[in-house]
Amino acid sequence: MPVRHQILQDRRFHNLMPYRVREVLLVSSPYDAFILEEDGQLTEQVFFEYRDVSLSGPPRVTHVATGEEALLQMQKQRFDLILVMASLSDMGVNALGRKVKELRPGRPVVLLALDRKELDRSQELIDTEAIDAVFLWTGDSQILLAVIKYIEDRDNVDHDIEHGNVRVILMVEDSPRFYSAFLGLLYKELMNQSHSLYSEGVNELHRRMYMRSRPKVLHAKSYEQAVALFERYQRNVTAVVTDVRIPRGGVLDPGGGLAFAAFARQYDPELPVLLQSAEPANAEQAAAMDVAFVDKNSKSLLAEIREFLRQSLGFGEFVFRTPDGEEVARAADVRELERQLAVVPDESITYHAMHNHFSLWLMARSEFELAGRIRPRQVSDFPSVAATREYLIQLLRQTRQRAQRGVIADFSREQFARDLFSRFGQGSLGGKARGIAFMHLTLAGRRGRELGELDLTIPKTVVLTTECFDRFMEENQLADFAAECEEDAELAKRFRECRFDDDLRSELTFIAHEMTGPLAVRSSSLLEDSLHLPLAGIYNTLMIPNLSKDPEVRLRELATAVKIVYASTYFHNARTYLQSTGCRVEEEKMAVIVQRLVGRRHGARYYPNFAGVAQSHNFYPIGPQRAEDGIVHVALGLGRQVIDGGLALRFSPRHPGVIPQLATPRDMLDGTQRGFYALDLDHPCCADDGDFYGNVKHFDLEQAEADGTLLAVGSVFRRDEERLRENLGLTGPRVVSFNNILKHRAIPLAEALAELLALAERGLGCPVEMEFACDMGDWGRPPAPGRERARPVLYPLQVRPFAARGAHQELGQLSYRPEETLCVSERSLGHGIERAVQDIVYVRRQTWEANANKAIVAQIGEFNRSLGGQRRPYLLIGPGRWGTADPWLGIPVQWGHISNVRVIVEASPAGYGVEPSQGTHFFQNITSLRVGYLTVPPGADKTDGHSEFLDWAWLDGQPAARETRHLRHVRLETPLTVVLDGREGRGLILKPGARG
Amino acid sequence: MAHSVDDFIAHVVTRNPAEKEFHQAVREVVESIWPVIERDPRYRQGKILERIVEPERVVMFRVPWVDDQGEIQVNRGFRVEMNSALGPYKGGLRLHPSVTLGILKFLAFEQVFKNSLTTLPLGGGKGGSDFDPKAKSDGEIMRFCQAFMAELFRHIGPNTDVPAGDIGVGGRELGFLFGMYKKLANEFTGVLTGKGRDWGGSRIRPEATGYGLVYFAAEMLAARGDNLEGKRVLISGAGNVAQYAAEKVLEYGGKVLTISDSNGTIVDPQGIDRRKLDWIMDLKNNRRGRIAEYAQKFPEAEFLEDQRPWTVACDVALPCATENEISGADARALLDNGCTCVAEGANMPSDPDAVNAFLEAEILYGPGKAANAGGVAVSGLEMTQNAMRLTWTRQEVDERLRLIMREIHRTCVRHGRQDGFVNYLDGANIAGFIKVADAMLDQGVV
Repeated sequence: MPVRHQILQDRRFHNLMPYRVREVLLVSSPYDAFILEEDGQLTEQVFFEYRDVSLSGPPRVTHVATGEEALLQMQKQRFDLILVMASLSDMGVNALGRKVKELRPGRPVVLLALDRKELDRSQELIDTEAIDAVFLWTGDSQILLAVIKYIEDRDNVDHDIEHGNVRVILMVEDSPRFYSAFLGLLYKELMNQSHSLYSEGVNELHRRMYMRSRPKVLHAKSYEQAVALFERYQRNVTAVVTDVRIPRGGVLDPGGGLAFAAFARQYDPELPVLLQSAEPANAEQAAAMDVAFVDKNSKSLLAEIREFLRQSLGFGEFVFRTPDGEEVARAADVRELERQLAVVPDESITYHAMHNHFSLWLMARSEFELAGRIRPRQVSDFPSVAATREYLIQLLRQTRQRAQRGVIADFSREQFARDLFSRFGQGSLGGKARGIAFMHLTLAGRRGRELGELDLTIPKTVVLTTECFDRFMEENQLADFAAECEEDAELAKRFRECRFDDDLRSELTFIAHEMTGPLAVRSSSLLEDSLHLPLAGIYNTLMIPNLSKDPEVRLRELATAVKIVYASTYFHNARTYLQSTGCRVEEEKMAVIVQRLVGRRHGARYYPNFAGVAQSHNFYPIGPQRAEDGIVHVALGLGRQVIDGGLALRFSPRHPGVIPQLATPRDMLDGTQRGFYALDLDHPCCADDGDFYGNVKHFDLEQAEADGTLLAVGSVFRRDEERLRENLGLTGPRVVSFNNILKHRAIPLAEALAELLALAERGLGCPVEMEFACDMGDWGRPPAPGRERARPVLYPLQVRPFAARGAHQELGQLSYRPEETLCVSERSLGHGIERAVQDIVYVRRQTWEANANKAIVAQIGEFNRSLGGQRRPYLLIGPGRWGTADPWLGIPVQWGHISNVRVIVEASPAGYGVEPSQGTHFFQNITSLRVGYLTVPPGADKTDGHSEFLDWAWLDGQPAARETRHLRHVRLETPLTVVLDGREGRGLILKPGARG
Repeated sequence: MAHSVDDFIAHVVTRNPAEKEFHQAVREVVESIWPVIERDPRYRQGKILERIVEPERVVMFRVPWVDDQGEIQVNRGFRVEMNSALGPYKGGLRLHPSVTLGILKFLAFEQVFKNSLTTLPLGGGKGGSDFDPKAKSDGEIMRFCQAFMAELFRHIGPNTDVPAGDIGVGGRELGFLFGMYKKLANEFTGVLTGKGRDWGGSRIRPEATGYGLVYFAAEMLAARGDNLEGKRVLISGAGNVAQYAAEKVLEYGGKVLTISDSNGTIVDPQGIDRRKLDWIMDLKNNRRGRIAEYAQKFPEAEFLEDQRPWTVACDVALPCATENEISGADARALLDNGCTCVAEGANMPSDPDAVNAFLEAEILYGPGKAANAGGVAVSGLEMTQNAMRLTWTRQEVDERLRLIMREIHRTCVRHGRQDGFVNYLDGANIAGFIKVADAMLDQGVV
């Protein structure tokens, strides 16, 4: 799990412990170092210490022998902690401490004394300005953990209280010998208890994140310091551990600890206090004060402290008791507590409520907010015990529900209904699933899961990790076959015939049963992880109805879909793509996302109100749009309308009311979708004939109107007024204008998408592309009788990097001589200079006609294969929208047909003014593989004197290497120079030998 | 007084430099009516030509407005009130970056004669702004329209100047303009046409041009003692004009053989009946499909890819698609195939060669400026309804449209009859001019 996902696990904990000790500089004589390291390398010791208590990121220890070396080293490298041994050859520890503070003000310096004699000597001479703390080496490396955590806690406590309301244990002890030993013990115990506590957590990550919220330990050496610390952190002090004999008023007070305990109890009579003393006689006084007591010399010291922590800090199970101490029930986790609360006797609830046991226990689970809400409520605030009981149950339920949010849970049958996102298996989630997980976590990190009238969430998702793929491949011994077979149909057939192992079969049956209703089965490939390799649209995504009453049928549908996605790892399109990226298909592994399909059933059709793709960078900003505002393509029905490059509405999320490319109502009439895609529930899915998408069908808009889905996004074109009206009661052509949403703001779609894009871009650190779908709920109609009104919900379906365009190169002013220039475009994509292209393949304008577009695809594929075989990148020139699914709008190539292309020019004849390419999957690959893309206006021939042009005559004048009716291949003696300025969106292609 | 067309045009160019579109429009009109000027001394005496090319009033004004980003934008607004001899100035408002004073004067000048030809009491004018409605939000459009009307309102009125929509001004813009006028003038009057049907707009505006075209064609045939009954009719285009022309032809008993779009023509030898026409209307208006689909739906039809209809044998041709869609060769093919009547639903669909061919063959040739005047006519009818504070039914408006087209036809015949043949082109040009010129003479030197 990459860190960027991990840290989003829970914002509260993400923000905790901002100061971490990662680099330790140990300054000691070689001899001292030898003593320290006699049991092995110090770094290793720290590492094992961290590992033992399940802490991540152990610090690295660098050793130097002298003070001078230390100061030199500090100038070269950042250190978070300077650990100094007493005997340095070149300077005293105080001198070193002062120089460190001069060099790096505020950097902690801790003195580690090797024995008590040294400790006593150094304590007398210590300069507290130069040395932050003194510890005694106890012969146990856990002291290193204690020193580090002590420093971290000291520096983080204010921040963590402010951001996470964490708890504080106040330790009062003046003897370095004792506090050195005791702190080590205390920290280790805290870590272990925190860790064991969260075995109930939903996953390993969750547990680790909670470790950060363990109580902080603050240390006071005197009564006055203790009082000051207590007063400052009084609201968060959860326990006090104090020596009985502590300095007070400058002298050692034999009852100072007792006085402090009494002082603290004034503020909170229930505050757990542990008195420790080497004098057993103090036990009586402790008992008189109703505080715990341990004998410092006790052989069971550790066990006693452990029990104190467990009881006072709420670790362990919640034991329900009656006031007389009788145990009536136990709860191991919040869910169990909630269940038991409903049944335990009234007097038990009253007893625990009066003693703040609930809040204490919840605090231990880092439910600070919840605990903070319970703590101030008195039993007397409620009219009855029943009311108290109900209040607690409700609050716990909220806690539990919150715990589900933003968590990637490990798949479990028991928790499946609860978990919105879960993973099955230990392997990788794959790139696409990580994207979904990221959005899930991002949404959980928002203040709420709604934006005005719109709820935001991901669809219920379970990911079969790459481990399942490995198991499947291994179980069926498919690796060799898959690597060698080049026929998609054969691959699919063989994969379908293979079996999942019994475990996986059983879980798939369970998933199909639990997730009743249509499912999307999506690929999530390992290589998609790479920022530069988004494999959008390369692998298969299938949809299955999952509605049969027969569990066997459901299993078959789901299993077949998963197998086909597995097989698609080796399909021609994927192989070709991987080859062009320098990856090998053998390196690829496939996780599979099983996701509830967003939408509703309308007869035999199932589809969302609308779906689309949002990109955080707009390559074609028009009018008020800016590139960085992003762009959204949206269409009624399934997102296939958009993904395949069909007619969809394109808008900037920052200017949703302006659709520049469709400026007039008549433009809207002509330029918007006329039909939509939906899942046909009656059509068999994953057909044997290789048409895996046969159940996704295209329907006329009138069907959407009959289904009621046009209402939210449709308008009527009024011929007599030349305008659109959002009233489907009127007669006239229906237009999918999205006016109700984009102009009249029925739901804040644009705002939500803008926010999600911004969050995703910030999270991924690069431009992003996000697929989404929206269910309008009961918008515009009354809810079904007896049902609560369903709110509109926007579902991010996946998010992926929109590959960076290498915008590092400074190009300066683009200048050129027209006679030496093949092409000039004011709308180009890509950035940089390309000098490797000597081959040009272009669609001959003399013979081209739109109805030949389909036929041209195969020919281009053949040219592409041939040039790819010779490792010759080429320039491709042709009309209309490249990569569209609609052959009337352009040449409907898929990536595999043009995989060796380096630069594309979109140049249409006059009158073929198709909107620029926007088939997003196709485009995704174009941009991520840094294919240059230039668009020239329709009919912009150089001879016409346009500022943007393509010199067709020059092209036609070059000898053809190969020629067909529609295509011409020109091979040049020397390369073209392609110059693309991504910041300005300008591009030039210079002819060979040009001096521009 | 100039002694030739060229002299006069030179005079116009001198007074209106850098307005070449206006010069061109004046030349076309003057060349057409020069014989009338020469044979009627009253027009020379009254300096009608000199007066008619000079706008009665030109208003040019600043239109400042605030865009969505809070930036102040400044556009230039115009209203050219060209001629009010026959009635209140009437003509559209155009919002487009190409708008200049020269272009608006050219359009206003043509509008004078177009309106005159309708036989309705309408003067001529044109207005607009260099504002580009493209890539603007509804809010920006509204703020612009309000700022524009904040100045224009003092120059217009139901009895003074009645603008309508044009390029860039549809129902939405007219709504904003009217709302602001109403607020500033504190009166709800018919100061604009093209309004929403619920607040003063007229019925059958989309149908008007197509219906009017067929009424005109029927009048031409009637003048020869003929009618549309059983006539084979070719229609090009598949938009409003073509669809409603087809509808009216069917009502008159004609047989529509073709409809076309930019991809080609469908030819249905059995004729496009009401059922088929409904299918076409659904295809083009709702499903927005290509006309080629017709041939799949109705196998008796043939689809002529990338071809226009003019090679199909017919009696009547109604070009309703686009400018210059009938070349000289097309015209000869039509004539060879028996076509005896051409009425233009589009603006200037016949190129000069084609027009000459029709005139030489002395068939019934109804030029667009007369045959497609139905749209302007309904605007006039909207004014009338507003003035009367009435809303006519669809049938009432249609009937009045028919009468207007009949009247236009009569006027063309009156002025275009030449030795037993009616030159409708000359008739339309001369009729439009004479009506205005005579009114100007009647009203004295004003």
